[in-house]
Order: sequence, then structure tokens, then C-alpha cells
Amino acid sequence: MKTINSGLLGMALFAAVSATLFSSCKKDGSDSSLEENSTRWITLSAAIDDPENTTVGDGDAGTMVYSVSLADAKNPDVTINAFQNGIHVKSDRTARLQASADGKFLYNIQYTGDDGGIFNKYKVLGGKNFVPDGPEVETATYVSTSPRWLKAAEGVGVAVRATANPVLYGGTTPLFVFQKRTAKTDVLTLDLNNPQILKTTSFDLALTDQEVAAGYYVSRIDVPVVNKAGNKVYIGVAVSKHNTGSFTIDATGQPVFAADNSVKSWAKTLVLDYPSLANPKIITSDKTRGNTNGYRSTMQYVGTDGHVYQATSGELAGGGGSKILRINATTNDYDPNYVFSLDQALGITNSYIESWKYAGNGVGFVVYNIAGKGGYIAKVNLNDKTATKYTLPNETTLNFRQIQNIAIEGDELLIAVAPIGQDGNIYVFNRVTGEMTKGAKLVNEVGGQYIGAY
Amino acid sequence: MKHSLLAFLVSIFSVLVKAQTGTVSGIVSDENGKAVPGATVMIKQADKLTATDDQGKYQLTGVAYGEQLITVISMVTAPKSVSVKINQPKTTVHIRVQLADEKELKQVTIVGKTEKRKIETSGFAVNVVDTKEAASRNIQTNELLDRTVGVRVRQSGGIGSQVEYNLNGMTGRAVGIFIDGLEISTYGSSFNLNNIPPALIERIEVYKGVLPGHLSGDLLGGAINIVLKKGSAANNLTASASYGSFNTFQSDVSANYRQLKSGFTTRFSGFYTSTDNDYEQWGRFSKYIRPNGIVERNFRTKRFFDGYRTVGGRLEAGFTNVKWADVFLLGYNASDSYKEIQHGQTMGRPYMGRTSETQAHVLGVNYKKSNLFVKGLDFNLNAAHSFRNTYVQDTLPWAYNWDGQPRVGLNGNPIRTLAGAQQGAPMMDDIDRQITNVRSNLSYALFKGHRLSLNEVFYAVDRQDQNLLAPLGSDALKRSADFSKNVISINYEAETFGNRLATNLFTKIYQQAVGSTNYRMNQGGITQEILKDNRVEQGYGLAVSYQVFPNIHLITSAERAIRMPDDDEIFGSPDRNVLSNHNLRPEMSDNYNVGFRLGTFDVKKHKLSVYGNMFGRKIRDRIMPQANELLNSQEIEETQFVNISSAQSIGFEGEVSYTYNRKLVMMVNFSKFNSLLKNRASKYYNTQLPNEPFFTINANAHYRLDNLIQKSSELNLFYTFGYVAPFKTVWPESDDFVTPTQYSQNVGLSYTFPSRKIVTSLDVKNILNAEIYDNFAVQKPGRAFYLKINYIINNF
Repeated sequence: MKTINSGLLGMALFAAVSATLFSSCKKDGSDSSLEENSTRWITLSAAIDDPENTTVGDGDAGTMVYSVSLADAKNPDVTINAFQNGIHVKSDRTARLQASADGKFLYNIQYTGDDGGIFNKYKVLGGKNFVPDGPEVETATYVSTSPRWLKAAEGVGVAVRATANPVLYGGTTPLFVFQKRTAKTDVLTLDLNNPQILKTTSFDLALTDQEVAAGYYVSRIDVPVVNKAGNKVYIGVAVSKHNTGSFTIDATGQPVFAADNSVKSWAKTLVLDYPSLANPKIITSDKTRGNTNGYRSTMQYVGTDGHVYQATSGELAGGGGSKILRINATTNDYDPNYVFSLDQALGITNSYIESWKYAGNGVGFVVYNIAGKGGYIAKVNLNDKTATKYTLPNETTLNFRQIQNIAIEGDELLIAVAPIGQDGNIYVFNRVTGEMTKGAKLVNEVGGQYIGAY
Repeated sequence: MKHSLLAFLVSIFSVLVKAQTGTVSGIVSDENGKAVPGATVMIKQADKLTATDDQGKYQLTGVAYGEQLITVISMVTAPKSVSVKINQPKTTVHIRVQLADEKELKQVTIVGKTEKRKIETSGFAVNVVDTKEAASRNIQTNELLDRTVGVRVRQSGGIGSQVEYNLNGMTGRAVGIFIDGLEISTYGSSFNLNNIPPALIERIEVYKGVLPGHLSGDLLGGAINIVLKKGSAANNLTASASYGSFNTFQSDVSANYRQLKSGFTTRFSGFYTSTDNDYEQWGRFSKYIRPNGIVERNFRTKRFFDGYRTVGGRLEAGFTNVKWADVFLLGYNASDSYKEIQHGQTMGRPYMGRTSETQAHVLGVNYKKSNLFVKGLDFNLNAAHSFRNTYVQDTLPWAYNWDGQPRVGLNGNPIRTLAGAQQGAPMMDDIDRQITNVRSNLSYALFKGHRLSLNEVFYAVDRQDQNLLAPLGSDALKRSADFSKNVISINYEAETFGNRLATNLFTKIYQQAVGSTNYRMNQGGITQEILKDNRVEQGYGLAVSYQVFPNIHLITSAERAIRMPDDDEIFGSPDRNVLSNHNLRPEMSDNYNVGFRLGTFDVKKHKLSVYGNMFGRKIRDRIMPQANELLNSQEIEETQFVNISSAQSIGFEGEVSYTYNRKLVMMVNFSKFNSLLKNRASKYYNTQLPNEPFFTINANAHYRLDNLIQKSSELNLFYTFGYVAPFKTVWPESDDFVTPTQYSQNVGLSYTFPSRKIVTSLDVKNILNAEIYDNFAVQKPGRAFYLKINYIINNF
């Protein structure tokens, strides 16, 4: 809308006309010339840097999406600029995007803002054509305006939230005594085919009495996945700890207990019955002390063998780096005999898995950094516990902190690789041959970042 | 009132006073003995000027002893001068003038400056908002400000809702709000621009960028100074009551009394406002959510928990124009307010049962004396000590839908909110503050037209918090912080080249002391941590006004201004997840203004004045919260205030006012600026900051009809128009995140009965029932009607 310079009448008229246009195009934004066809679209998402923040490449200013055909995505002679040619996905900050396996639908839950927590579904029609499909669904009342969510099975979204309750304490001022901290946990399931909420649950999540007394509590949950049998949902967990003997006193005289970052809890997973979302239970692995909630992308997959493979992260320095753990398909508990150590497989220390994709038959592709630095990709074999690292240009300056998705079509995986603010390429990995080829060129912008391929 | 325009154009302004002074008063009448209202009475050599009231009465105070020439000029009479010898404290001089014929009328020029014009041509980029017209109408002080050039008042909803002021693109802590030169925070939120009726306000001064010495503070963007009505010579009583849409009731009363003989002066004013604010909304963000989460947008509904009630009073008593003081007034100010909070910053989620209550008791003293001890030395002290209480309650655990009913889940049961209350965790917070604010000014006339002044502002806060949900008693250990600041400014004002060049050179010293006491318990042992921090900064500036011709002024100013970091920003606030940063540097802004004022030009019955100003602001070390979301310690969701490289704002504004035959008054103004990001590392380098309206137009017209219904009655018709250009609310271009173009139109009329005692007015706001927004996505009221009656008694 442009400003106008005519008189009052003109302005009023303009207002009336633009209001009509505004409301009418909201109702029907579809373009009849675009038809669904058999093209496998690959959607690329790109995060815009928030110029008001000091952190470059935080993606806090929103997300652009742009889709190309699979053939174009794999073609190194094709140039893609999602920032210039794409469309801004509704979201104040980085949108949390998911897609159907065939790439035909894109799902978004807006992150923060007035419409934070609103679910939108789009039909992918190539280029910048993403047509709203079905009603909007509000999830904020259950899982806040900044929900953690994933497509947990085809056609099913699971959104989760855990927020630590205030610390319970005893004693009298100023000799307060730490008692316990629990987490208010909310989980809901979304029908992605016919957008609506299917089921919700809410409960207080506590760790064992011993862990609680030591100051441990669940601080975040994320990356839900439904198991092969379709009767359980596994949700990754981050555990934090207070120093129960140390606190400061705030302005109202209440104690503020200090954080204790010197130890990490054993890796844990929250297990709920599916689809009832009943019987919450925490399972614990003794294979690593780390988090299982990931950051922005899927961290656990149902394997070809029916077990769930789960990547961990956030192990303390010297803690052996990220692992891949196994949740047994029959016991629905951690497999006490299974652990894959990326450190050991690659001969490195303090690896940190930022995202990964299970590609079938025990083969996976892992995106990781080493001690918080660089961005690397390796092919892993979860059965014989080996790994092969690929050589990418600019490896030491790559940063996959914001990565949300790796696309898979047939035997090929597509990963968007570009340093923050610099051009890069889509890289195509063959899960059978292990071959890596360079795909389409990705044109970047200042502070920008390609964060997903779907 | 017949010559109300003239009367308000020409009002008292007092400057230097010589050694022994007296008061001259009397009545101006024509050859038939009829009073002449609205005539200018002046003593030119003493720089004294006033206007006669409805009864033709005038009073000039602080007139030096000796032979003085009193001149009377008026639009309807021939000029006349009389010579009087002043040798006693009170002199009465009645002046008889001759009615003018047409020819003489043309030659009348008004040489005196009104207070408004005097301030506006002082060299600062300042606009003075007159409240006279608004006082008898159904207009909020904030609405009046919003029509002022370069000012954008952003309010999240109706009467009583949260307000933010934007001056030429600067906002928040950068803009200072003052009442009679004292920070408004002294009075608490129950006495603010939301609820002070225009009737109690003498004028509002809006300074953009560069601030004069007497408004010293650590501010960057400018200041709004509300000058309340002072006890004046005439005894009067005014009262008004208004009722309108959304069950809105507003009333105010003020009375003024001065005993001529002793100089004893007392003034009382009070106000009461209550409203349900249950206006209809239907915008995009008004949404109804079904149990399965499906969203219905543009849901037409009424706001259901947005009521507001406030009551306040102010009593002043003391002496004016006595031997030992020009002004000595003791004041007491009390106010109380209750507000239902319908939603947070945006309309996304409606609240039910979240309320805030505030109370304030303010004791103040004002002392003013010219020629204190020696000739040419003036002293002014304005001090207040306030006791403020704020109570916020939010304990209702149910989530609400925009239809005013609790949200229902899939199983048909009401849904609890995530954190246990409407906005967050349940709270009953009680905060007591004691604020001391002292402003003093000492100035000395070095020689004619040259004046040196010293201003000092002291501000200190003492705050006590209590969580009534977990009371710990008064003996509990608590973290405490104390905070005080001093701003000292030295001004040198000079009027040279036959008073045509006015310059004001100043420097300001900012001093801040912040102390905090923390208690840390470690394995049973207590340590007390006392932190003290003292910092000093310096700023400076120059304001220049040059009178090219009597009605053409060029105005320019430049300043380096400082804003000191707040105590929370330096010491952190664990309850608000803010980490401390002892290295925080003060924020600095270079402000420039260049402008002109043309007029008033009189051609026959036409009057025209034009104002234009260009401005630039460059901010360095802007203080902002930093996002701190570390990958390895995701659970830490704390933030820290840091200095970042920053913004620049460049723009221009203009205003044209036109008057025809003192019956038709028209005004149009606009403001357009670019607030640009100046971070070179960003792709948004040099682009407009989001979520700031950057182009606004206001226009209004006022037409007066005399003797229409009854003889010597007066009917006034008003029309106002406002335009806000669309602006984006996120950095990227996106149709979903744009606040659309807004047009608002209001009409009103007021009728003054022949007795001049009663004025009644009717206002229709937003006549087209347009969808208008203020803060992003918060819809403002649609069409609304208000009726008001004013009652005035003079000289009881």
C-alpha cells in the first residue's frame, strides 16, 4: 500500500477500497492457474537475521520459504535465492516448519508474537506459491506461543511444552531449605491432514525422589516421535540442576536458588501412551549424561528394525560427546546394551550432534560440530558403529545451530549447506553408495542462513 | 469570551522585576462605559503584558516603582496610553478608550508575545499545546497530544490503557514526561496524562530532541511538560461533567481564590473518571477459538474486562505576590486508580481478573522569588516527596476466549492457563515507592539581555516490594537497591541585536549513584554484598532563535544528550531474569533541529502561520536487552542489557494554521521521519525500524457561529481528521505483519449560553466507525458519543 496525496475524500475512498481488497484476498488467496501435479517439490527454508540483536545469524527476524523441483535442487547449475524469491512464512521469529514426506504440504507453527502458537498448513505448488490449506489451529493455550513441536508420525503433529514450576522450599527467612522443583508439562496431538487438535494432556512431571532432593528437574522437552507400534510417544528431555545449598534473596525476600552447571543428569526420555497421552513415565539411560531434546530439528527416528534411535547432545566437555541411543521396540525402554558414540566412531572429542536423519537399514547422516565449533556431516552405520566424515567447503565456519530439517527422497538426502551470510549449495547424499554430490547453488544475504530442506 | 481568541493569544508573561514593585489593576471600558474584554494592556518599557477579562478587568504585577506608561490596544478600540506614577504596592487605574472605526482597526498590530509564542520562538524545537478549546469538550489530554505535530501517542485500547509516547521516532525511556517540570513518575500512574483533564492544564509544552535547562534529565528524545493551571488573580469556580459511550463518566472541578489584601491564595482541583470500555472489536486479531483449536478470525465481540476508574485531587495554599515571595505554595496531591487489564501488549489472549490499583500521596512546595537578596537574582524551587503504592493482582487460573467465556477443552472442561494465572504465574505484588524530586533554579541577570542560570534536579527512589502470595513479614532479609541521580545544568541566555537574536548555551552534568545490597547464602553461611556505583557524564548544547522580520523566526538547536542506565539494567533483576552488567555505558544521542516559524501574517481578516522543522537524532551505545540463548545451556533463559551500535532518525514536520475573521480556524500538520538502523553488518542497514508509525497527518477545523440560537450565545463546530500510514511490524516485507492505513474522523460541537456560565458540548468520535489501531494489533474504539456540561462562575 502506498501513501496518497489527494484530499480527504480520496483518502476515505482509498481506505474503503483497500479494506475491501484486504479482506477479500484474505479469504481466497489461491491462484487458479496453479494446479497440483506430480512434481516432488523440495522446499528450502531460510532464516533472516534480526538486525537488532548482536548475535549474527540468529534467525530471529522470521523465515522465508521457496520451493524448487527435485531435479533443480540436485542440479549444480541452478541458482536458488529463497531470500529474494521466496515468501515470508507467518512468524515473528524463526518459524518451526515441518512437511509431509512427499513434500506436498508444509506445516508451520508460528513462534512468538501475537499469533505465536498458531498452526498453519500450506499446499506446496512450486516457487513462492504456498497456498493456505484448511483452518488455522491455536495451540498456544496448551503449549505457549513458542511451542516445541514436530511431525511425530506421518499426518500427526505432537506439540509439547514443559516449564519448571517455582521451587518449593521450607525453612524460615533467611534459612530457607530447598525441597523440590517439578515441571508443568503439556502435550497435544494435531491432525495434520484435517487440521485440528485431537488430544491434550497436562501433568506435573517430577524426577525420582533422590534426583529431586539433589536439585534435578526437567527444564525443557522437545522432539516427540511415535513408536513403530503406534502405542507410545517418546519425548526428548533436558534436565537442569540447582545447587540446593546456594541461593540469593530477591527484593520480596524469597530465595532464588543458583543453577549448578557442573554436573549433567543421565539422558532421559518422557514416554506417554499414544494416542491417549496417558501414563507419563520417565526412562533413563546409563550410557551418557546429556540432553535428548535437541534444539530445532528431529533427533529421534523409528528405525527399519522397529527400535527408536535417539541422538543426545549437550554432554559436558570431556563427557564423551554426543551419542545415539536406542529405545527398544518391545520394552519401550532404553536398550541397556546399545550406544553409538560419534566421538569413538570418528576419533574426535566433544562432538555435538545438531541434527541427523535416519536413512534406513541402520544408516544415518549426522550434522555435528566439535566442541561448539564448525559444521560437519558424516555418514554413520548404527549397526557396526562406524562413521565416515565428508569434506565440505568452509567446514570450520559452517554453523548448523538453526538447522530444522534434512529432506529425503528415494535413496537421496538433501542438506542445505551455507555459512551464515555466505552463498553455499544443496548437497545430495546417497544412502546406499554414500556418494556426495553438489546440488543447486544457494544465494545468501547478510546474516542469513539456510536452515532446512523438506 | 467574545474575544476569546484574542484573549488567549495575549496572556500574561512576566520577566525581570526591578527592585521595588507594585501591582496595577483596573477596568478598561469604552466611551459608553461598557467593559472592553480581550484588550491588551501593557507597560512596554517594563515588558509587562496582559489581557482584560470578560468584565474588562486587568492586572499587571511586579511593576517597578516610578513613572510608567500604560498602553491599551484592542481590535475594537483605538490605542490609548496613560502615564501613571507607581509608588505603592497596589495602584488602581481605570482606562477609558474609544471604539475604533474600520480604518483604525487595520493598523492594530499585536506586539506582545503570548507565552505560547514566546516559548515556541525560544530556539528549541518546541510546540505548545493550548488546552483552552479542549477544556470544555470531551477530549482526553492524550488525544490532544496525539494531534500535535511530531507526537504519536500509542495506546493499547481505550481510556486508562497503557500509553507510550513517540516523539519524532524516539520512544520509551528516551522521552521524559513532566508535570510542572517534575518527573511524572513522582505522582504515580494514578495521576498521569490519561486522567488529568485538559481543564486542569494551562498548556502542554512538547520539546523535541534538545531540552532546555529547566527540564534537565537524562533523556534523549525530548520531553512533554504539562503546566498545570496556577492560582490566578481572578477568583473562579469551574465544574464539568460528561457522559458517553461505553458507560464513560468524567467530571472535574476546580476553584481558585485569592485574597487581594494579604495575597493568600488557594486553589483546589479534582477529577473523577469511570468507564467500562466495553467497546466492540472485529479486527484480524479478534479471534474465537473452538475447543479443537480451530480459529475464527475477525470475531465481532465486546471487550469484557477493561473497566477503569480514577479519582484525584490537588490542593494548594500559600501566598502569591507578597513582599517575601512571588509565589509560595504548599501543595498536596492525592490520587487513586483501578484498572482492569484486558490483555497484554497485544490482543492475542484476553485476560479476566487481572487488575492493578495505584495510589499516590504527594506533598510539594513551590517557592519563587525575583530579586532575591540582590537585584537580578531570581530563585525558583519546586520540590515534591511522594508516597506511591502499586498493587497488581492476577490469580484467576482459567483461560478465556474473546467471547468473554472461559475456554473449553475437547472434553468440555474449562482450560487452565499455562502458568496458573492470566499473564503468568499467580501474583499479588505490592510495591511501595517513596520518591523525592527537587528541582531548583537560580538565575542572575548579568546585564540587560544576558542571563546566567544554574539548574539542579535531584531524583531519588526508595522501593519496597512485597509478594502477598508468600508474605515474609517485615523482618525478612530482602535484596534492596537505592538509586539517585542529579542533573546540574548551567545555561547562558542572551538576547542581542535588539532582541532579535536569542541564544541559549548550556552544559549539563549527569551524576548517578546506584547502590544495592544482596544477600547470598552458601551452604548455610550468609554473605552480604554491597555494591556501589557512581558515574558522571557531561552533555552540552546550543539553541538559537533569530528574528529575521517581526513575524519570521529561524530556530536551530543542537545537543549532546545522555541517558544513564537504570538500576535494573546495571544490577540485574533475578525476579525478571535480568543479569547484571556493571560495564554498561550511558546511552548518548546527538540531536539537531533546524526550523522556522512564519507568522502570524494578518491580511484583512485572514491570519496565517506556518511552522516547519527538520531534525536528526543519532544514538550511540543504545541500551538494549541481549538475547542469550546458548546452545549448550539452553535452560538458561536470562537476558542482559548491553550497549549496541544503533539507530539514527532523520525527518521533518510542518504545520500550517489559518484563521478567517476569528470565526474559522483550520490547522493541518504532518510528520514524516526515517528511523534507520545503522548497523553496517546487517542487510537492514539504512532501513526503517519496524513497528514505528513514521508518517502521520492531522487536520482540524473549527468554526464559530455567534448569536445563532440565542443572542450573545456562541456555537462552535469542530472536525478533526487523523491519518497514519501503514507500517510493518517485522523486518522482512510481509503482508501479514503490517499495521494497515488508519483514518480517524471526529466531529463535535459546543454551545455557550448567553450567561457565559454554561458551556455544553457533544462529540462524536470515529464517526465512520473505522477499524483503527494504535499499538500493533490492538483495536481502538469505534464510533462513540459523548455529552459534556461545563459550569463556570467567575468572581464570587
